Amino acid sequence: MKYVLEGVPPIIDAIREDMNDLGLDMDKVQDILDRVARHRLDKAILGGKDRALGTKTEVLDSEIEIALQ
Amino acid sequence: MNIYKVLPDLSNERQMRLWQQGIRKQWSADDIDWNAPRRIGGEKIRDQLGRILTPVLTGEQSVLYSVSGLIPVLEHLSKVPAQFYLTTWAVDEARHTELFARYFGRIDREPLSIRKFPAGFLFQSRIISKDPSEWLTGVLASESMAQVVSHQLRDLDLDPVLSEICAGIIEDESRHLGFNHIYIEDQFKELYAEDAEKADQKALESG
Ligand SMILES: [Fe+2]
Ligand SMILES: [Fe+2]
Repeated sequence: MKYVLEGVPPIIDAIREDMNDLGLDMDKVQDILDRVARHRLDKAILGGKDRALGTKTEVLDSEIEIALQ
Repeated sequence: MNIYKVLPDLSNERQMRLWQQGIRKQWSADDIDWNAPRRIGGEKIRDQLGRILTPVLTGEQSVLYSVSGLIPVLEHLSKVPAQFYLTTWAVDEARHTELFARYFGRIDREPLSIRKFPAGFLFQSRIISKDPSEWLTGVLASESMAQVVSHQLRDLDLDPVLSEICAGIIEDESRHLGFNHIYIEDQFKELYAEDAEKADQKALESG
């Protein structure tokens, strides 16, 4: 995922001016993307681990909710 | 020749539920009111929209191609419920591709060429994989991005048609992200049940 996420900043840089003019907050998009995409991945992996090993890891959804506000 | 079970194993309940949802929640680009008055008349704003929607359109297309390519892979793995679901995911991305292609017509603009926007095209090549888990990990980033950008565009409400497109896409994306979660979780459940140390290593490599 790191490899994919590294491809995002050059896209944002290429169209940042247009995004800003239109009112899109690209720094927010980048920030949310970094945190939320990783959080989602962790959540899925730990969910699988818990189901296999019978453990219970607390994974909070708060960061995902922030993304969707 | 492919060898497969005559009676497919459909016991993965969560994936089967998503598959049912995927079918029931279909809609068409023709459902959009394309004749709604355009709120963005200026040349400049249409130029700008044309540029920012370029990575969106290429993103939709490349997910369509990669999802379609994974359908036979899941067949080989005998993961039938996942294969079922991916057929609806492909339809979703085909619809998104159609929507944005038609939207370029509405604003009378063309997407940027590869030469003018290499970053957008390079990004897509990072996601392609023939391994479903690896692909899903990569696509998680691009689907999350589609979701966040769609939310922002819908809330900005620049043009009624674009807002309607984004609202529909947000619903579709939540199913894609739902499947992404379920599939990766199932994969890691299997991996951890087999060999916890190896699974930890794989988890580290996925991040
Ligand atoms: Fe899409
Ligand atoms: Fe999607």
